[in-house]
Amino acid sequence: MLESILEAFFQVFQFKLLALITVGTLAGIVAGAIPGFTITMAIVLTLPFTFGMSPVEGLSTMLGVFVGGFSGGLISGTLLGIPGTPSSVATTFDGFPLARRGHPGLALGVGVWSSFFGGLIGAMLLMSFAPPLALIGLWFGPWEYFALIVFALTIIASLSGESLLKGGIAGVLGLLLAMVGEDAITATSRFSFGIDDLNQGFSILPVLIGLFAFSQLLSDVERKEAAQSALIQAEAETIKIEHWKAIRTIFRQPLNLIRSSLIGVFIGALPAAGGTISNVLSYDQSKKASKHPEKYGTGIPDGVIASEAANNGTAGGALITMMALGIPGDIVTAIMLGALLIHNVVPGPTFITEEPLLAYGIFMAFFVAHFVMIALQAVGLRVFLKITKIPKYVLASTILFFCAIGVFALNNIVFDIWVLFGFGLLGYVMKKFGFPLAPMIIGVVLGTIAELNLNRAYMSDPDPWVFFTRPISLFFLILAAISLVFPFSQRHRAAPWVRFFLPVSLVAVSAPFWITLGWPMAGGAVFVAAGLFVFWRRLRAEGAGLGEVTRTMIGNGE
Amino acid sequence: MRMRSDTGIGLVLLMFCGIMFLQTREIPEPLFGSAGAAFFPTVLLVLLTPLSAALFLHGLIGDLRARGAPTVAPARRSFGAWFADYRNVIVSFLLFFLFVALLEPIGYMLSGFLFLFAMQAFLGPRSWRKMIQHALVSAGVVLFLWVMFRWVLVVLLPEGDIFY
Repeated sequence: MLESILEAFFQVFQFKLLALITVGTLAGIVAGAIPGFTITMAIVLTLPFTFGMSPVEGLSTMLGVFVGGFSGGLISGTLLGIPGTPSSVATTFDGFPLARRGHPGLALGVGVWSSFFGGLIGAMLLMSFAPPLALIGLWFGPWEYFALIVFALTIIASLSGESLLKGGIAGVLGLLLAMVGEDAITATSRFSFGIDDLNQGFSILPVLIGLFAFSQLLSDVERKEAAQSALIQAEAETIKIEHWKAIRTIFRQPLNLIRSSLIGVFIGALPAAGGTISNVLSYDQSKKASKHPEKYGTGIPDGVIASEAANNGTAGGALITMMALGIPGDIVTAIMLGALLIHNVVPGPTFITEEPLLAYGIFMAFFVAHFVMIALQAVGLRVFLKITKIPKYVLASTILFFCAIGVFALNNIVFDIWVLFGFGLLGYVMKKFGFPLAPMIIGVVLGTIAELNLNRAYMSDPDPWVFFTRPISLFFLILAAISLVFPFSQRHRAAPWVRFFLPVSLVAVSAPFWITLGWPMAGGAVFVAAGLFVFWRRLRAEGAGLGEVTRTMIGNGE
Repeated sequence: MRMRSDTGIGLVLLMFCGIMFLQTREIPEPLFGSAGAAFFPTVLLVLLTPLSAALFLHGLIGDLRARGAPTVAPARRSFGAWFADYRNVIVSFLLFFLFVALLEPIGYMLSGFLFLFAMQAFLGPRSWRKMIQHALVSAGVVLFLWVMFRWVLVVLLPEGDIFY
């Protein structure tokens, strides 16, 4: 392992790779600073540039965008109260009031440095936990892999926004789109409707760019006045980041920083969540744990630290799942997964052992990107803000043109630009009718892998019960069920059944440990004990006496 | 009674499911021991059909409730008003369509310049000064990307029959 780390170190510390990470981080910060221009869009637009690069170069560039995007989102959030990305929503709660009270430099400094420290904690956890997690992954057969993908697909539930039904439809439509063309096992062509170009299926890139970027750009120029306005109109000339004061402020509350970073990493590692959730959750936890919760929202650095440390920590968490298990932790890593597939690199349980140089190179690039980010943020804040002053219609036209040329470069066929056009139209119409697009993209990215593993499992043993008798497969299916119900529990917190959700989930997770037999059964006992303990605590918190608790637990004898 | 969008979309999705189910029957039978190329798409269609039916019913129930409610129905918008709302988007799609259609006949340089200039001229302010600015930006972007793709990333861009 040490040898691989050293080799990766020398690989990353070459001029070309450092330059690519710098360019990627710069692009990410600019994209993150532009409201409505999400990190996902920035990553999608980076894809075409990575075709001519080696996998490690391409991924390093994208990691730069990823890290830069998370930290860039705080710029417009802090200065204008408009979050640059959904991952920086909670940053605006305190960052904006702090800036308005006359401390924009401190607000930006605290945000930037919290991003840096949160990201470093995420990077350290990534390097520590991804390899052992991947060793567990070596036990995976097609049943486990398919169950894992089912778990990953449950991200659709949390990405569905207001309408779970429409999110579900979009997700299944995405999976169906991945079915167009030849299937991976028998090479039988499907759903091509006599169009030769469709025999190979849709390329992921034009579909992604069409659905996400194309439709978003056209939404931005719907109104003439909005199209001719600049993205940001704030005065940027007088802003100077107060670095030392910001660092001292952060170090005065190490618990807040570490807790928020860990929340970010944990949420990022779950396939059902991402930066959008982690920053709000972390802000909420920081407020609950604070001695002065009433000050949150009035412009205190604590809230900025919680949000920014969490959203950069999320990046590390999402990479842990992608690198170790080959499943995306969020939509951005889903696109990175697509990028690796384009380079014929298939991340999965054997990825770190089979491609150690690439894997550790990616770890190292993620680590380095944080140092590059802090350097760029320190030097170039004023320049970044000037780019956001370009009118939207100029940006939209240029980016649309770039999208078209980018997807053409993929296979050198104009058909891919038509696909981009078609999916741009579809994405725009779907958005207008209230369909979330992220679930569809998850479906497109995971569809082929899901089918391949399901078919492999069927060819090995056609009995579907195997999915439930193999412990790891059962474990992921239970997690998938929990993950599906989780958004409902968050929406109906007051419902009586919600207090049973966590204890029942913990007891359910113990099931695979029991069927493993031997020492893992101790793990099952721990989960059952934890479930019962949580249940008892909740009932006690509601004021029930021990007798009532016991009666409730054994069904009151009725 | 006007149909709610969910009802219409649900109906379209149900028809889509029907067509796709018929298409799966066109897929050849599986080879020995394989689940076959139609298996997973069929599973997905079995999932999509009830979801589409649920959306249709959800919209239909909304329609029936709206019919029973004593509220004033929203005024029907004319085609002109609808077009005015979406004019920028429709023209942008149309310009992009023309750009792709012309890409092979007239090549990257000319089609790219015309697309960028037309988009900016249509969406942006209209004055001689601005038009010159749009032309310069369009030429700059086309040249910059050509250099980036052709010389830095070594990717070939479409060459037209009329112009490079």
